[in-house]
Amino acid sequence: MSIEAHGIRKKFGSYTALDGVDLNVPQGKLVALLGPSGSGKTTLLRIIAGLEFPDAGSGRVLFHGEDVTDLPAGKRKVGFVFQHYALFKHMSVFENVAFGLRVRNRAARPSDASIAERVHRLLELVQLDNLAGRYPSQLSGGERQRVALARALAVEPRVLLLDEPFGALDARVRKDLRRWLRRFHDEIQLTTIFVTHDQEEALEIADEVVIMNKAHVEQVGTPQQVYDRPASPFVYQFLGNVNVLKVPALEGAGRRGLGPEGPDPEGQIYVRPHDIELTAHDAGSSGISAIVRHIHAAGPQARLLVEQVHSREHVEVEISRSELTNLGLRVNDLVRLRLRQAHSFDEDYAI
Amino acid sequence: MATPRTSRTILPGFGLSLGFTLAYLGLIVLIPLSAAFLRTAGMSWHDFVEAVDSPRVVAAYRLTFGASLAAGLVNMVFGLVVAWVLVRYSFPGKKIIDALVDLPFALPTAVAGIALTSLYAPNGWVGRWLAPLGFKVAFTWTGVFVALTFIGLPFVVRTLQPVLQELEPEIEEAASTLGANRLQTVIRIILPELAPSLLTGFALAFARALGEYGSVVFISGNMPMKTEIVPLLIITKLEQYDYRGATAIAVVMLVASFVLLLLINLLQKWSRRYQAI
Repeated sequence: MSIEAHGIRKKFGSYTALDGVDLNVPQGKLVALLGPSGSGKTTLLRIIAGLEFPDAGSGRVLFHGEDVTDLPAGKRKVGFVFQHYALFKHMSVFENVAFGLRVRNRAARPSDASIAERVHRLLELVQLDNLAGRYPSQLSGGERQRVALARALAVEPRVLLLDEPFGALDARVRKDLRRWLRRFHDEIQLTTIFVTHDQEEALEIADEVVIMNKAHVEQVGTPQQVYDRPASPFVYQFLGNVNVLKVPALEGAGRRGLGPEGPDPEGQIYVRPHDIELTAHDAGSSGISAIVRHIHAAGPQARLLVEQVHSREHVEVEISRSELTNLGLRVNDLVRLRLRQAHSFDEDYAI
Repeated sequence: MATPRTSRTILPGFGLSLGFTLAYLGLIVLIPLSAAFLRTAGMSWHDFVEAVDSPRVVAAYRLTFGASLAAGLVNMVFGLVVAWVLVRYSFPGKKIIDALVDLPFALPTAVAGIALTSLYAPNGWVGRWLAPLGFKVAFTWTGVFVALTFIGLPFVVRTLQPVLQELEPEIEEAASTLGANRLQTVIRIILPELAPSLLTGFALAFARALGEYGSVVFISGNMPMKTEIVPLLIITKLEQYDYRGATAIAVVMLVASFVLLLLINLLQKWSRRYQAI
């Protein structure tokens, strides 16, 4: 089931949450809505679910070409998973999952036996079958979220929508659960949108990432596309670490790959820490001269903070541990910087 | 060697605070109540049964417990509606209505009784419209019930308000995405979540109604066998210097109330069985 949204606008009082947003999610994909808080991503998800409605006269929501804009949530056949689980506290895990089937009208309601069978199959799918009799308060956060997922799937939704599904979990569980979600999605092949503010999460598991900022969509693309070719300074800065350097700072060196004319001399260029090469500062070398100010070597990569000699601007550089050992760098050593890859947004000038 | 401790807790002062609690309850609640028991202990079993089993006393028990139960139940339903409206919607004058809910707490009950009586008497503002319909409120069972409902309302509303405020809107949204209609959401999701506090509110309103005296004596007319409540009967006995008879009636009332409140507490505990300890 593909999901389309066209020209969605939503205001809460004087605050604009969505300002003419378009979205297109192809059948069977796992798509991340990524953005900082207040970017409108959750509002967009809730509008797709039918928990909010776009402002009058603006925008349509289509499921597989069918206009569902005016349908209430219950009629859209969506599975929605809330950040804080929203489980029914007074019901056992089993009853939580069965709820969507039990509230169907008599004609559509399966028999008790087939409800039980379906619930157990779903609980097996989320690996919680042994906890069917527990109450939500007796489960861990990760378990609760999987119950919420099973509950959402019980109604055989056409699409699955997850609002910050791992937001309330601790780092370790988060990581496990998001990989699990990816495998799970590959198994059930249900068109899925999840909202997150965690770029690592989005880049790791999504087929496609929709980056939102200030009520607009900034860029849509595969994780690799958005990471390697950010469409705007915002995306560059939001996805991973980046150094923003003033062009004059590059004077004399490091212009490799900047093209014949180079960017606007007053402009800025964007460089990722791992796209900077460090070399020893000796007579034959070229590049921006800088002084090592800090070395942070805990972790797989060494992170260095260097200060450019001319502009006194600080630059973050990431190199491998072995490279660090080879260079034999220490704090206050002189080095040269060379940019392997850089990016400028001046006059649409991409490097 | 230090004495082995079975369990360590970082919350200090258990011994002190429990000791204080018991002493305080003893002083304020238990000693006065046991005085009633002691006084009746001086009676022979035969006298005791005679004092509490006369038709007039039994009729009073029936009226007090029946009307209190009915008032508690009605308050549970309408208190829920009032609390719901006050929590869920915003409208002009909400603060005033919110404050009005507390009036039955603050008003001297005798004032409430007189006001209700003048309203519902056959020549009162409301009573004159009800009388031609053959509907008498003042000086009947209904009058007692109306007075008890009046004084019990705040208990239910004030118990429910914070719980309703805490109710996550997400659980209702979750129910709606799962295809539940509004009625199903209310019956299957909201009411079960509110059940423990509904029961608390009911128990408070019920207990308050059992002991209510001031507002009822005016509107009930105090006809023996018909509209005479137990607290009034006790006062009557006291005025006749029948202290033993009065305490005997009180003891039965006490025990019955205690058993009922205990049952409600157990029911309430059962209704929150899903909560983690």
